[in-house]
Amino acid sequence: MAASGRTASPGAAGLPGLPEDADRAIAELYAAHWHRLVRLAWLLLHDQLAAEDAVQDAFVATHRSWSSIRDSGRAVGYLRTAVVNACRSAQRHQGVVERQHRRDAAAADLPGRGSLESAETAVLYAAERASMVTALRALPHRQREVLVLRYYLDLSEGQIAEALDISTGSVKAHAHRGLARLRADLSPAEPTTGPDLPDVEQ
Amino acid sequence: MNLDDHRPPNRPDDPTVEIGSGLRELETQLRTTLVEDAASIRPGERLSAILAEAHTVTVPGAGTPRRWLVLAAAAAVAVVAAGTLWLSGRPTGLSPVPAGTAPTSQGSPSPSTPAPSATSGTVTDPGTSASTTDVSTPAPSGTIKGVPVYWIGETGGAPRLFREFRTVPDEGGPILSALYAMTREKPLDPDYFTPWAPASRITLDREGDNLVVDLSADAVSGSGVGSEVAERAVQQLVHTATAAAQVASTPVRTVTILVDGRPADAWGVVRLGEPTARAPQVEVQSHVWVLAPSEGQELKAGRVTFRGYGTSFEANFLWRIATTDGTVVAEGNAMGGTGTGGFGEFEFKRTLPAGDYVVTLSTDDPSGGAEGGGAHVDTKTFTVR
Repeated sequence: MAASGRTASPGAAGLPGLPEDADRAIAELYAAHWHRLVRLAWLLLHDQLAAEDAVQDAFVATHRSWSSIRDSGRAVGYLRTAVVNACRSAQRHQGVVERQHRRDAAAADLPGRGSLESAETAVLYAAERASMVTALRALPHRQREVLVLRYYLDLSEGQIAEALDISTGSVKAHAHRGLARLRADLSPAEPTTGPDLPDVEQ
Repeated sequence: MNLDDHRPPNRPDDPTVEIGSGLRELETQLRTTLVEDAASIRPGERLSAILAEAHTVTVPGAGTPRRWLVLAAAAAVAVVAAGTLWLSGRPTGLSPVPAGTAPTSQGSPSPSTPAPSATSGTVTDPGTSASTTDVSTPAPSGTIKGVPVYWIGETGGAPRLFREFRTVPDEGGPILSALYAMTREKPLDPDYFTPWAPASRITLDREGDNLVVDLSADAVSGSGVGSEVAERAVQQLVHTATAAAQVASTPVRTVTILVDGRPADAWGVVRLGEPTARAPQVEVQSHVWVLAPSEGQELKAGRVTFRGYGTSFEANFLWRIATTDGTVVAEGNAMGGTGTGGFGEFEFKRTLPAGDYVVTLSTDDPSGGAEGGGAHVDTKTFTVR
């Protein structure tokens, strides 16, 4: 299904190589992009079930307005924006308490939840990876979105600006602040020796 | 914007950040982390559900159709075609979509993709499983990594559950491998034990969200298993099976244990044969686990990250790092969980020189054991090289 990504030449924006029929178009887009978009949503939400819901919503929305989206020639961009927005909504609608519960449930790998695999795998992370993931999750939404789009999807500044509906200047600023904050969070801030660990360095 | 997910990665058209040389390493690390983290899940299949939902009439004010309804509808979808009124209650945040064009429909979507059968013995896709485990050495062929196995340990005055992730012989997918390991292997942590004996045969059967685990009778041939441990052993199996089912992306809610195909009295003290869900976490699980390091793990000298998980009075956990000869090198406390029964993770870091150590995590028990069974404790022995 990689063809769907290549048939749309930049010069033929009005004639994307996707079927007019919404079912077939969605099936093609699904085959080409479902996994990647779910993984994108996972990076933003860290809840597999919620991630799949968010991407499902995006596909359903795309299906429902397929004709106009197809005419616009930017189906993937539309999907991507819809996924990021759906993830935001998902986060907004889960309050702080609920998030805590989700984390608890996930960590306890209770059955019947898509987030559970995360729990099972979470404890398997290398320590550095775990702290990077933790640091990412602690970032403000916008900064995390920009960094994920930039470093996971490898989008350009312009593409990120379009996906998030913000200016390229804001993209730059969010990226810079996000990276700076990650660096601060990841560098060892505590002294490596202290009152509770005398002389252990030597 | 073209459909650009297929262009070569890592080469955006324009630079995003003026990066100082100090950030380059961070960028690389971030990229790697994101790729690995993203690869740690296996997205479920939802094409049928998407098509079914897209063809479902959304009644204004009725809100979002529940997912399970949509999923159920996917099996026997009625295609609602042109003229569909779609006023989505979905909080997708999309800009309003012109509704002038009805989706053209061409017959029913393909039937709902069935979840892979728990009995089919599917092994986690190697590419995925490799990225979901942190074991730096590849697992020998014929083994399966990152398999959750629960054990029993005495803490807080009762037998309680602990979990280890293990590399175990592949007996046909995560669930069977985990269950065989639970009966045949020994816990890595010497503080844990299992009353199950090696099973010569385990078969699985899935009935909706219930998993039937049929054991050969040798699995319950142990002697001297008291009722308290036996009850916990049932939960040990339920936890192991449900966790492994999750790893296999075929989650189940309950587990029915049979012995030689029939309900049975195990160890003469506990009745098996009814669908059993996980009991409340706070009742059966140790209130503290050491998640990292794992028992016997060898770590590079330098900054060591310790991670724990549990629930404690006022969310306060106590930790202590000692050498194996008993010299305490560091101690402190850490906050995790809700402090009111909710479980949560916590972590702390210490720089340690080479040596053999024991880390002890403990719940805070202000009553000093006067109430309840006293503090819950988990320990791990590890080596820094």
